[in-house]
Amino acid sequence: MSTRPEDLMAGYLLGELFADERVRIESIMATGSVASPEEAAALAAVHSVALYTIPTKPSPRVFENLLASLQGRKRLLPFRDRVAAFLDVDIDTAYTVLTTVDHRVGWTETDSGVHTRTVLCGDAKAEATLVRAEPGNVLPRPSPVTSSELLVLAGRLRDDDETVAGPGDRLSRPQGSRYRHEVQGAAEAVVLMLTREHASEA
Amino acid sequence: MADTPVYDDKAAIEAAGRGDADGIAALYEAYSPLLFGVAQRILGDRTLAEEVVRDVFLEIWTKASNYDPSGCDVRVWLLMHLRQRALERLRTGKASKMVSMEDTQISYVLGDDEAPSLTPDREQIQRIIDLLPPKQRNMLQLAYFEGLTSEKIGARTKVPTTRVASEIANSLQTIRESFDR
Repeated sequence: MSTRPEDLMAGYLLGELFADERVRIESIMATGSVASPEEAAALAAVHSVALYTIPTKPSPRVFENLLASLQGRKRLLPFRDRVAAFLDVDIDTAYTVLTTVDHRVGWTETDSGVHTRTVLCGDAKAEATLVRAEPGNVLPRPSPVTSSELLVLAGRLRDDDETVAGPGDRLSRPQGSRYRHEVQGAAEAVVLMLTREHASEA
Repeated sequence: MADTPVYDDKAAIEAAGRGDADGIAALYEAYSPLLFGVAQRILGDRTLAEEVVRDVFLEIWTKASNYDPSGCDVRVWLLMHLRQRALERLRTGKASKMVSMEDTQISYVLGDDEAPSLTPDREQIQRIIDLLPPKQRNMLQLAYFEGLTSEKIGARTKVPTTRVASEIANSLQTIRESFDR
């Protein structure tokens, strides 16, 4: 039975792991979390071997290509997990929602110049909408019978209290809120909005 | 003259985790030479190595928000992804044979001032690995850069298969203890 973290790491290096050990390594790959300082040190020892090479610059086109990907369809991929949690959907659905941002058709322009596109309808009482808004635009507010939650995917939003929200931030707007969220700065804002309908007071 | 911002692993990975492209750009600036050097050594092909490096940074872009700053070092985390992707590519048969160390020491070698995140421990680690028994050093490199199994390493180094894993574990322990000194 393995007692040293080095034994686990030798199995990792050789690709010869038991099922539970494989899960352990996959967990480190997913988040970087380690079970103990000894495990971290053993893992660092494994990858110290990489420093036994000569660092070499890749050609500039690699960085250009990477930047193009970060500015293109893949730019929103870091939000995949958060969108899945925000909408309570699986990762694949979250990916589909994110890639919808770049679809050219299916958007509706509001009177204030904001573009919206419904991406998911859970039931009659909830709806997820993508919102794209240029600097200076104000996001649609909840109606008297709806509340909304926002997940900022790109750009910055400033509210009436001058608080600024950026990518990854979540905001809640209660039913009938008149709070303004205005796009700040020079970049377009992309926001995922989850709207819930509540029972009418009438 | 404005001061050049000091590179910080945690700040870079946190920024990438927020979806900030500057964070991934900073990580790329700091680590692409190391990752590319390793990828090239594993794959023996410059174009494939560049593809793998790009793919790894895109993968990190999607995972950075989950990174645990109290876990392994950012460098180690990047190398885990790089090695896995490069070996996968090697096994799909899309790569040529491994190049020698001499082959990687041509024109693109960096000076120490060009890769600040690499310099503090690189020479120390090379000294430590140089001090390992030659057979252990060889086994470690065959496992790391070629992804060979115990059986294949045993055949190459004429060490019984059953001893390969323990020899590698012992060499890792030696390296770890050398860090602690």
